[in-house]
Amino acid sequence: MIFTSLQFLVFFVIVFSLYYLLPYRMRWPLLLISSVYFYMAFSFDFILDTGLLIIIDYFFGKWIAKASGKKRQHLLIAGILINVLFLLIFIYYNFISQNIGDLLSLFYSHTPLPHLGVLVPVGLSYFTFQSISYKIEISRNNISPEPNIGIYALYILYFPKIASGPIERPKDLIPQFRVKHDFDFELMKSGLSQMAFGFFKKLVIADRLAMVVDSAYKNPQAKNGTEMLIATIFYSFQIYCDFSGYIDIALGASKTLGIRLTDNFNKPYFSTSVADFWKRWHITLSFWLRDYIYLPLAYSLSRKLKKERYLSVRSDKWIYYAATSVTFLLCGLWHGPAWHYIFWGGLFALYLCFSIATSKPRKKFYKKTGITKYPQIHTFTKTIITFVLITFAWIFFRSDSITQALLVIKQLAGISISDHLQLPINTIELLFSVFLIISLIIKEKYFFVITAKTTLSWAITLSLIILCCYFFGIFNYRQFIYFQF
Amino acid sequence: MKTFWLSVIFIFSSLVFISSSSDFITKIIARYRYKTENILGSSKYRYGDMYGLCYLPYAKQASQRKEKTVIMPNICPTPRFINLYSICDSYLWEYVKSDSVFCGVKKYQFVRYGFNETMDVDLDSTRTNVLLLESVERNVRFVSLENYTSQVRFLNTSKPNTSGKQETSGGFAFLLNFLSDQINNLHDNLFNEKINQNLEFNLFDYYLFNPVKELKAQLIYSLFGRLNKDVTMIKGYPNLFFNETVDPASQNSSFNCVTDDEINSITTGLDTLYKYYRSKGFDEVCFFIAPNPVSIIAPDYLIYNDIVRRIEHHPQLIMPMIDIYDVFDTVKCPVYQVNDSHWNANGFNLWVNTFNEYLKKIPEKKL
Repeated sequence: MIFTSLQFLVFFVIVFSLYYLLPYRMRWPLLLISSVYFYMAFSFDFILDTGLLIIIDYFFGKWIAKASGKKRQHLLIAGILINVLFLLIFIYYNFISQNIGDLLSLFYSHTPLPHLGVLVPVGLSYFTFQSISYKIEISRNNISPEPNIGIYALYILYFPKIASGPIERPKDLIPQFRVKHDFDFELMKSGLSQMAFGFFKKLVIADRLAMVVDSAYKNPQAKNGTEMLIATIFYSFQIYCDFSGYIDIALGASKTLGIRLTDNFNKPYFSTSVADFWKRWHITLSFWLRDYIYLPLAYSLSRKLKKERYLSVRSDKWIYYAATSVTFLLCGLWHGPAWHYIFWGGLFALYLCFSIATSKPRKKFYKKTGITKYPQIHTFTKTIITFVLITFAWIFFRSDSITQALLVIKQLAGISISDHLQLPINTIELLFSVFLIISLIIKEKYFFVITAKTTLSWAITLSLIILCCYFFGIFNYRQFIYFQF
Repeated sequence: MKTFWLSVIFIFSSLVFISSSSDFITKIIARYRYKTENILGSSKYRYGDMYGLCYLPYAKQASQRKEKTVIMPNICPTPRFINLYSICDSYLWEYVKSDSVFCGVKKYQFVRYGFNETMDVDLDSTRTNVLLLESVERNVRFVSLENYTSQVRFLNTSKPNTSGKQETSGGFAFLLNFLSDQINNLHDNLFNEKINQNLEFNLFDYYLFNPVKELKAQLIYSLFGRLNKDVTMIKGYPNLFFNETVDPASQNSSFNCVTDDEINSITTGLDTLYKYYRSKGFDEVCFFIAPNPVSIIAPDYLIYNDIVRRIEHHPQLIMPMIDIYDVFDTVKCPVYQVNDSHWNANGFNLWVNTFNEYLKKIPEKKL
C-alpha cells in the first residue's frame, strides 16, 4: 500500500474519520489495528517476524529497566545483538556470504556458500533502529519502559512512518499516543496541505525526473556526457523530492491525527558544507547515528588515546577521522548490502575528514582572496561546491555497482558541446522539469511553507495543488526510493 | 455537526473500500455499470479499449465490439450437425452474438480464456464435436497445455451450460453468495491485489469525468507527446496500439526477435494440445491466432518477427490452423478499429467466412 495509491488515500480517510468518531481510549487500538493492516498489505508474512521482534524488544526493555550495573549493560548488548541478528539474517547474510565465497575462491576452488532466499520485512532497518534507540534510552534512564505492549507495538508499527521513517525516538512519539487529541480544524488543514505538497513532489517532480534518470542509468554506455550530466543533476532532485515527498505525506497524515512526527529535511541543498548537509538531510537517521554510534565511539576513543600528536596530527583529529569513517561506512551499509552504498558512505567520510584537515588552509585562502568580505557570494559559492560534491556522491548511490558508477563518471568526463540529446522526454518536458526544480528552489528559499489564512484560500490552494498533481503527475505506482532501505 | 460529517465520510469511504476489496462486488457493479449509458456508466470500453486507456479525444468512436455486427456468411450447407466448443478471448466472445453465424453448427459453447470460469463439456457422440482454440498474437508465445486445459471439465452426463456466465438471482441468493465469497476469500478480500484498479473503477470511471480525462490526455499529448504507458501511436497511422505489441523489448511485441527454436517449441506445444483434445474425444481441433493490429497495419515499422506465419506454415505442425493473417494482409480495407485493440466488423466478417470455409470441409459423422 504505497502512499501514492488510491488504496492508501481511502484507507487514510477511513482511519482519520473513525479516529475522531471513537472515544479517546479506543484510539490507540484503532491506530494499532490500522498499522498492522497497513503493514500486512505489503506482505502478509512479514507480520510474524516483526511481531516476534516487537515482543522480544518489549521484554528486553522491561528487563533492562529492572537490572542495574553490569547486568544492565549485558542485557542491553544482548538486546541490541538480537536486533543486529535480525538485520544480518534478513538483509546482510547473502551479501556477507557472497563476499566470503568470492574471497575464498581466490585461494581455493570456488564453492559458493549457501544463499538464503528470504524476503526482507518492510521497514526492517527503520524499526530496528527505533528498537535499539528504545533500549538504549531505557538503559540511560532517559525513559521508562512502556508498560503497555500494544502502545510499544504502535511505536514500532505506526503506519505513517513504518515503511520509510522518520526514525522516531521513543520519548518523542510514545507519549503522544496517550495524549487526548481533539479534532483541530487548523491542524487538519495544515496536515492536508503538507500531504498535498508531498504528493506534488513525488508525482509531479520526482517521478518525472525519474524517467530521464532511469533511462540514463539503465544503459550509461549508450549515453553521452551531457545526457549523463542532466540525469545526474536530476537524480539529486529526484531523490530529494521522492524522499521528502514521502516524509511530507507521513508528517501531514500524522498531523491530521494530532500526532507530530519529526521532520527529516531542512532545505538540504542550501547547505554550505557537507557537515551542514547531514544536519539537514535525513535528519532522524543522521542524529541517530550521531547519538548512538559517533558520540559513544568518539568518547570511547578519547578515553583510550593520550592527548598527543600522532604523525604530527592531534589525537582529537584522529578520533574525529576514525569515528566519522566508522559512522559513515555504517550509514552506507544501512542503505543496503552492496559495495556501492558502502563506497558512498566512505566518500562522505572522506569529504568530512578532508574538510577538517584543510580547514586552516581554506580559511587562509578565503582571507587572501577577500571573498569573506562578500558574504552572499561566499555562501553561494560554498552552496554550489557542496551541491556538486553531494551530486557526485549520489552517482554511487544511484548506480547498481561501483563499476557502473565509474562508467557514469567516465561518460561525464567525456562531456562535449557537440553532444546530441536523446532523452526519453521531449524538449518542452525537459524545460518543464527544469522549471519545476527552479520553482522548488525558490519556494524553499523564500516561502518555506505555503500558508493560507482563510479556509477559502486554503481550499483553493489545496485544490490547485491537487489539480496540478492530476494533470501533471506521473501515475505509475512507482515505489518510493527509500522504501527499499 | 462535526460528528455527522465524520460519520458520513466514514460510511462512504468504508463502503467504497469494502466493495473495491471484493472482486465479487466489483464484478456485480461492473456488470451494471458497463451496461449503463448515463453519466454514471463506465467509460472504459464504450469508445474502445485503447481510448479507455488513454482518453485521447480524437479516438472517441463507438466501439464496434458492443454493437451488433452484421454478419453475411458465405452460403452454408443446411444440415447443422456440429457441436462447436471454443476457448477464446475477446476477439471472439465479444463479437459472436449468435450461433447461427457458424456454418453447420447446431450448438456453440465457449469459455473466456484467462477468466476464472470453467466450460463443462459433454461430448455428444451423435454429432461432430469441434474445438476451436484461440490466442492473440501477443500471447501465442505463452501457449501451454495447462493454460488451455485448466478451464475445461469433461462430463459424463449432460448438464446445463454454465460457460461464460455467472448466475446470481434474488436478494437472499445474492447475500448467500456474497457471504460465502467473503468467508472463502477472506485473505484475498482483505488484501486484494487489484484493489487500486477496483477503486479507480468505482471512484473515477464514469462518463461524467470523461471531459476532464480527455482534457488531461490532450494536454499531455500536445505538450509532452506522451500517452498512457500502455498505449502507443506510430507516426503516419491514426491507430492506437497496445504498447506491449509495438515495443521491441516486450515479449508480446510483433517486433521482438523470435528464434527458430522458440517457434519449434510453440508448434510442439500446439501439437501436444491437439493430441490431448483428440484423445479426449473431439473429432476436430483447430487453432486460430488473431494477429496484433500492428502486424497488419504497420509491419514495416520495425523488423516484424512474422511469428504468425512461421507457426502456421511450420512443416512439422499437425494442429490445423485458421489462417487469417494472409487474408488480412491482402485486403485493402481496414480490418481493425482505430480506438480499440480488436478488429472491426469487417475484420470479424472476414474471419467468420474463413472459419466457415474450414467448417464446411468437415464431413458429417456416419453412425
